[in-house]
Amino acid sequence: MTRLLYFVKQALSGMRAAPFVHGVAALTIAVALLLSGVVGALALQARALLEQWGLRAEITVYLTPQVAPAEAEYLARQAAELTSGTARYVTAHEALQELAAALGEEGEALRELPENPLPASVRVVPAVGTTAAEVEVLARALGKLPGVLDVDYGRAWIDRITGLSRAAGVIGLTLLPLILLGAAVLAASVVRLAIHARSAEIEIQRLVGATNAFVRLPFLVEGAFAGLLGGLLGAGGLFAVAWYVGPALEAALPLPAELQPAALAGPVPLLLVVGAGTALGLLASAISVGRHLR
Amino acid sequence: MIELYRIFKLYQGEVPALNDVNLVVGKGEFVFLTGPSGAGKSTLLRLIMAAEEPTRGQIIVGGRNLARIDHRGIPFLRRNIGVVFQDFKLLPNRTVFSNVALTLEVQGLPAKEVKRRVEAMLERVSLGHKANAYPPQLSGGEQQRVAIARALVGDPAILLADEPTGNLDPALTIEVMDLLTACSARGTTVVVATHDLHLLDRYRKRTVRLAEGRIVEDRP
Repeated sequence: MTRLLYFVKQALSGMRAAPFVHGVAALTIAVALLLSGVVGALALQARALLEQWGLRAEITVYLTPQVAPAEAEYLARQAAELTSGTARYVTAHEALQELAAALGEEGEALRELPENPLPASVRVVPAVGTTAAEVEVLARALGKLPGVLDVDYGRAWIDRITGLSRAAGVIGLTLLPLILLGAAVLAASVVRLAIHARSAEIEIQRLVGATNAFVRLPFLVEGAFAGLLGGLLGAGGLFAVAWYVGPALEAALPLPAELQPAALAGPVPLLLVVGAGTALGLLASAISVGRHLR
Repeated sequence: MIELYRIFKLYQGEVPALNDVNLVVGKGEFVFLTGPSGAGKSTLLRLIMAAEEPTRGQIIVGGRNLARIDHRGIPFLRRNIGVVFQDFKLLPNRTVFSNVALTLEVQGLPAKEVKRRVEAMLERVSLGHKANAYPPQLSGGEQQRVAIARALVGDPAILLADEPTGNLDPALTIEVMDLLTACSARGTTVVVATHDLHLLDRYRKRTVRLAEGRIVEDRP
């Protein structure tokens, strides 16, 4: 414990001696973490949005005019069984009434039409937890049932979300590690400056019999402290994004309800950012001091 | 205490810095290494403290063959060798106390023990009253005494000094040399590299003269 305190004391003294270098290292880590936090949260939320889409998905199965009501009811039961959800037969007349009601005054004209242009349909709500991909598969299966004219399951919207999710996944898998690695390398270069500035001290320590571990430990503690500071700054930045930039973004852009900038300010993401900052600082120092002592 | 057998040290593209050097220094002995600049005095000291390896030959320090010590063992060897340099090599941003304490801190001694031994050592070199001063606030002689205190506080068996009086005026030179001879009297093996002939005349100790990397004279 006394030994650890000694290294902490040495580390703090080293940080006091070179505040600019440690500040730059901390800022580098903070910016990288802020970027990673925003990109990572976006990727996770887009994925969650896609996965939850199935919860609200409704598949409309349009029927040919030849399908009798009894056959349609049978088809609805088949559809419910297939999707493990619920299905309701909607006659052509009901469909017209609903559309007219939805259009309000303008819809009154629909009631005057000599012939109903709308087909009868079966509206299917798949079981809770059905993913977008599963909805697509179910829609294809329903399309193969006899008497089915067409199936609508909001494909355009699902395609958009799928694209966004895929992009978020690619960004998450490639950009995030690159940002973090870049930050570690940059911070390592900055820390190396601090080590270089203290090369005379290291030389003297080695002359009086210091082991590599003795030389290395204060630098590792320094790196961890600089990383912790970077993590705290990054967490502060994320908090600011969540509480100040997020609402402005929501007001300016039609964000889906599932994209919640406020989620960035939760305790778990903020703690993760602080932890990641400390780990990055430690890694940067380990790289630099390791190379110096080699 | 120090044994060198057929030591050669070659640097790339240069004439040998050390050429077939054989030397034995006993426990508690005081030896001057002398010779002109470039004769190989500093190289010889660097080989003894394992800061460099010889190109050929064997070095035995305190009964241990340096060729058989791996890099992890070198710090422990150095804890038994105090070193003093012409340019003092003190840390300017640490106090006198902290500079001297470094030797004991690397050995992991408890803070109380470090304090006791550093204070005693600073008294021994007459710098007890300067414990909280910083090296740039001291005279050259005081700085060299701090360096000697740092070298001796770990109670090493060997003290190597490379031109320890090179930056000092005659009065301070005597002050520092008296400290080094006192160490030898206490049983520490002392090797002092110098090209100051006045010192050799004044102290009348064993003198090993080097020229172009060879020992050309070994006068008891």
